[in-house]
Amino acid sequence: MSVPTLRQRIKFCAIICSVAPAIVFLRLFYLQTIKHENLSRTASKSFDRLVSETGPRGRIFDAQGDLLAESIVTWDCGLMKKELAHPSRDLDALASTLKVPRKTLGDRYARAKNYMPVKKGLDRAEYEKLKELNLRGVTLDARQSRYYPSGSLARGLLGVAGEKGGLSGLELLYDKVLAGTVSKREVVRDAAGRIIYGDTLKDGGRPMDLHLTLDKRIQFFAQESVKKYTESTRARQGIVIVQDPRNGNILAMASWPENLNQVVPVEWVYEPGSTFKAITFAAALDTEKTSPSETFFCENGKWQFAPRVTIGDHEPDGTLTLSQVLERSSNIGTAKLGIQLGLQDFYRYAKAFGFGTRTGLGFYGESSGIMRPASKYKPVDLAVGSYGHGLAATPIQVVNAYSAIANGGLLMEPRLVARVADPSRNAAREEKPTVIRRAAGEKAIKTLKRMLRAVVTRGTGKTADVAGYSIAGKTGTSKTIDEYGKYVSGKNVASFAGFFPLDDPLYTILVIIDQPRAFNYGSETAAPAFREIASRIITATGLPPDVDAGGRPNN
Amino acid sequence: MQRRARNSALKVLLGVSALCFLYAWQGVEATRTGYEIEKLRREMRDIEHSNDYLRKDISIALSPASLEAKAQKLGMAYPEPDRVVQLGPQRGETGQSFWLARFFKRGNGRSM
Repeated sequence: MSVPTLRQRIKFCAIICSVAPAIVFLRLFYLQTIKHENLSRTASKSFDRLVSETGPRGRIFDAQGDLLAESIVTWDCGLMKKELAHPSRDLDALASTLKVPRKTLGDRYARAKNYMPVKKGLDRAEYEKLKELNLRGVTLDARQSRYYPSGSLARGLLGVAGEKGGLSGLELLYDKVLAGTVSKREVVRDAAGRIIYGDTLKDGGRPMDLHLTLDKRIQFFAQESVKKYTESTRARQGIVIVQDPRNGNILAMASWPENLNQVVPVEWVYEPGSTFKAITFAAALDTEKTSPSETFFCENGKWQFAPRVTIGDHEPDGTLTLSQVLERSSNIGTAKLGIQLGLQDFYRYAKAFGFGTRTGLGFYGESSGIMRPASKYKPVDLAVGSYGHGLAATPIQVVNAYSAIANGGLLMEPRLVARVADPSRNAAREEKPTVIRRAAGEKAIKTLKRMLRAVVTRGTGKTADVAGYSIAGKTGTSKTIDEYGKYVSGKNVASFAGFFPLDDPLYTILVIIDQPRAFNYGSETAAPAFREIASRIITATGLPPDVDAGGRPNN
Repeated sequence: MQRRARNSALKVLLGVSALCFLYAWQGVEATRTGYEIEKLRREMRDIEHSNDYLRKDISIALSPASLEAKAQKLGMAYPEPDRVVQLGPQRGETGQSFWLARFFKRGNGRSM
């Protein structure tokens, strides 16, 4: 064979052999360039996914930065019936690992078509045990759950948060601030469903955190005491509020039995009774319609005020000084003082101390109390109103009024939130203390404070006294009112409102025991609870004594 | 001449093949790295969750109810205010202290 012929044959074979690769190459070229866009779009629909994740809710801290509420990941366990390899054995393993009754699982399994929920809210320990079992067909979906590390501490105030947000209390009130933000990721999955590539489109970031004015220790003392005294007196309910009179900060707010749906201290109303006498006294002293040297004849305990109206005292007293009227809690003496004061001034000062108005805490169910318009007041209403009957107030209104007395006459706006901060602890919004108004002059308040001190040293408030400390306050016993505003016979509300130390008060405490069955009076039920809470606060904060054994100031 | 032309063609073919290989290798590496990144991301989240649960355990252990239960088991009880001895200057005392201690005290009277 000649060389030219051989070369031609080789060329011919090369051409034949390159036909197939050429066809493949042309096809590839067609798919990768001409059809590229269409095919990419089709592939994206199958493999690209937009995944949304709701982040954790914001945290809630107390005044010292201790955690009160936080979100944490929990898992919901389910199973795909059709994918279980060994149903009976797998169900046994699930039942023993998750502590779910085997029969319940079996019944649910029998009824299920394919997907079956097993248990919600698994913690980390359960999640890891389940992962170790490595069961096919078992699904574990992560979600954010709320937990409260201090258990029942301040739960009535914190409220409840569900999957869609806050449902009550502070969780509801500050829902927009605390709500977990949604982050979006675009992911590409392979045929087995595993993520190959993910790109964050929108980073939700962390929501804001709430820093409350609550002091965890004082809240604990308040809760323990209110539970103890409510149960020991077999009362319907008990309420305690502790406030810092200098700035309106709420240090503790507790009620028993625990109510997660309502913030009882701001929603429930009651007749303040004799604790309201301090307001009448403040008004009379500030308008100079009375003086400490004035005396009142207390009708020996029974005063026929009007043909069908008799005002009575629990002790038959004759003539008492102004201070003694308060010390012995004489309704007759206070009613005479109220009449002397006059309706206009009485009403004006009641309003000035915050009664009949919401405090501004912002809770949706907060009541403004019940104070009829002044035009509807008859003389008997003024007389009984002077000692706290015929009107209703919320516990927060009463403690706030006593804080105004404690701090020298300034009505402060009560505060629960000190600041709203971002997670890096740079304060986003500081809530500054706010003075609503001056309720009464300093001179009148100073005189009133001395009288309230005398209530504790010589009067009905002796059981509230703590040796070595200048406790001042007032007992209260009033009739229970039902939801229609009518008195319920045989049922009382016992209370004690007070503050300490006298000259530079740091704490105002209100204790209410509603319908105690054992003991009825404020001095028997609420005052001892006040004493216990005050003692705990003194010990925990290291507050030095300010009076000696004789009750004289240490300096 | 022909040989030179053939050699050039071969070099171009080799170059194009190398580029195609590089392109294909990149795609495979990107996928492999994507798996790796996602795996590390899951591990990081897992560790964060573990950390959250550890902090939860600490918070629960330090809660007032938990501490009180432990204190009661040890036979401890709340002291009354008159059983507590205050150390340091009392309210109303002048609080005389050594000049060096006063030098280090803050303006509000608390020691550093």
